[in-house]
Amino acid sequence: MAYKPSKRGSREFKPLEINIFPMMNLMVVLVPLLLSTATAIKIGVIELNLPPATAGTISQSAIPTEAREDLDLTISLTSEGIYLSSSKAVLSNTEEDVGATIPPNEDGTWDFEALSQLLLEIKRRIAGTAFDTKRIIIQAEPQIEYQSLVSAMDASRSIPIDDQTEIELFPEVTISSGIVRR
Amino acid sequence: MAFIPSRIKKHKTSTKMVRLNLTSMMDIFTIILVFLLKTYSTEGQLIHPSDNLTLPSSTIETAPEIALDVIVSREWIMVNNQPIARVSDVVGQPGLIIESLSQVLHQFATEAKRMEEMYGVPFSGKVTIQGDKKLPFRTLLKVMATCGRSEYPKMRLVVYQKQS
Repeated sequence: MAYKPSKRGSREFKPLEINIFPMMNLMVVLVPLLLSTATAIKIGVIELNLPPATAGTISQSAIPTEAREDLDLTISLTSEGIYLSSSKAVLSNTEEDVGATIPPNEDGTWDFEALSQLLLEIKRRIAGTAFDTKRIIIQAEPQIEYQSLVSAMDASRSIPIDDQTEIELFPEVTISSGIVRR
Repeated sequence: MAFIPSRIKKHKTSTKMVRLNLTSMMDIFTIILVFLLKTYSTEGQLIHPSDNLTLPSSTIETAPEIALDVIVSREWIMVNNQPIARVSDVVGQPGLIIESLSQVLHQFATEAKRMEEMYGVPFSGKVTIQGDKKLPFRTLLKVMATCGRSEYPKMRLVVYQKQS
C-alpha cells in the first residue's frame, strides 16, 4: 500500500487575525455620540456697531453736512430697484436717466450681483483718494424683507473673484431709517 | 497502488466556523470617526435659533458670541426668551422706540453694570438680534433703534451661514 501524500509542501497557512471586536465596540459607541453633537447648521453673525446714542434724534448727525468730506455711499432698496447714491448725487442708470440705478430682475427680485459689480468699480475708483472708505449706508422701504437687507449687506461686504479670493468692498454697514415714514 | 482520494470526503462540508469579515466595516467607521472628530467643536452651539422663525442666510463667516438675546419672531418680541411685546402691536405704534422693549433693555443694562462694579464682568453693550427673514424693515428698524437707544449699541444680526 502506498503512503498518503505528504502534507508538508501544502501546509495550510492560517492568517493571523487581530481581535478587532473591542475596537468595534468603541466605534459603535463613539460614532453615534459624535453624530449627535455635530451641528448641522452653522450660525454666523453680522456686526453692526452704532455709536452709543445720546439724547436727541437718532438720524441727525452732530457734524454739519458742509464740513463732511465723506462719500456717504448709500444703497436704497426700493420696490423699483436699487438706488445707489452718494452725498452729492444719485448714480443713474446708464441707458436712460430715469428709474433706479439697478432695475429689478424680471421676476421681481433685486440684482445683487450687479450691485456688487458696481460697488467694485466704485471701490477701484476711490482707492487711494480721500474718499476711500469702508463705510456704506443701507436704507430700505418699510415693507422690504429682512432677508433682502442681509443679501444687500452680503453684496456690499465683498465680491468673490474666483473660488479662493474675495475683494473687500464696504464691510462697515450702517442702517439708515431714511425712507421710514414717521 | 496509488492513493485514491476518498469519495465520501469529497462532499463533506467543512465544519470550520464562518467568520464575518469586519475589516471593511472598520475602515468605514474609522473614516467616519476621524471626520466627526475633526468637525467636533467643544464650544457647542452658543446661539440656539428660536422656534417660530427662520433666520436669513448670509455669506458671512463671523462666529457668534454670547450676548443678550433679542428675538423678533413672527408674533412676539422676546428678550432672553421672555415675551415683551406683540409684533402686530409694535407695527402700529408711531415713533421709532418700542417703550416696553426699551424698559426691559434698560433693566438688563443696569443689572449688567452692577455686575461690572461688583464682579468685574465687563459690560460690552452687545446684543444679538434674531429676526425672521420675512420681517419687514420697518419693524426691524424699530427694534434696532430701541436697542441703540437703550445702552445696547453693538448689534449682532444672527444669520445662517450659506453652504458654499
